[in-house]
Amino acid sequence: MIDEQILQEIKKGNSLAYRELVMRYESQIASTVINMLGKSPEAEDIGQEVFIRFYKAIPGFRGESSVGTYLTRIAINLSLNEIKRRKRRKNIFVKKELSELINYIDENKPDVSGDKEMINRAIQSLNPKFRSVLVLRLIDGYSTDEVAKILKIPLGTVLSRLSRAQEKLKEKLTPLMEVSYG
Amino acid sequence: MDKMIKQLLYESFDRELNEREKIILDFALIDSEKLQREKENLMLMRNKLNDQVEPGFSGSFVNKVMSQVQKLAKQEENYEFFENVYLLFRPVAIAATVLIIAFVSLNFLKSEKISLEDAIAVPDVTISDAYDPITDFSLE
Repeated sequence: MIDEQILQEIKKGNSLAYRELVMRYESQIASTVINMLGKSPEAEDIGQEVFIRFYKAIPGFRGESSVGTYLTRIAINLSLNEIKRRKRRKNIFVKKELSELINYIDENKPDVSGDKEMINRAIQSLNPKFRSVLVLRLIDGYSTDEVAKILKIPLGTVLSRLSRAQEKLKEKLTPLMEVSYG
Repeated sequence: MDKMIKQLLYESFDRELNEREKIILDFALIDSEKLQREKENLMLMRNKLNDQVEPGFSGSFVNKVMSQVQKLAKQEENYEFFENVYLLFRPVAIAATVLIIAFVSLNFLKSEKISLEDAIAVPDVTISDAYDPITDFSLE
């Protein structure tokens, strides 16, 4: 069944048809959310929230963008909100110096889970505006035009943020690159 | 390394460079080993990022979402029922009011008097008219 048929079924009142859609897009949304927020219980909660919000939005969904793009847009927005919330929480409960120390420890934790974990940690250390562009383009595989549409920013901004993000990430992943070459 | 050349190198992965930009970048790559290394590193990093795709959340993710969806669907059903009742209430109330007004008016026209009994077409009878013990007993 194609996405449109599933949506028609749901609009008719067959909410069970939604299972198919959740299974189809779980991996894509997991990639976006986990790479934005890191592997955490909150990431899964955000993942659930993405699908619930989309379910509520189905009656008004006109299909101007694909289901995948629409879900990704929700996922990115919710992830950015979560990052802001985390920052606020951190600012309230932890003094600046202590927060910097925690960040330093987080960034310099010894690698125990391999390349994937190390790359994920490096991505987490990027500024959210660079992180979102990098995740959408290089992990989710959206074109630069699609990234611009999802984030509602100009194409030039996407390209410049992408360059900056890669530059910063490359600096952080230098040890990994050296190991790979050696 | 020239900042502009480096920017071109990075952007060459994400957009189509024009002819002039391609020539500048190609010459720079031939000319600089450092830039070549930068390109290789960049390609390696981008390949590694491709492997960051996640297979999914926990095993029970789909069931968790579906149980919330089912709850929502039930809420919607209840909401729909009450919404229908609400929507139906207005026309029914208006029709009933019109009928009552018509009934009362008709009764007033018939009796040519204005009283509560006439309005609801109840005959103007007393208790003794309705129940006469003498007549009733004599019948028995």
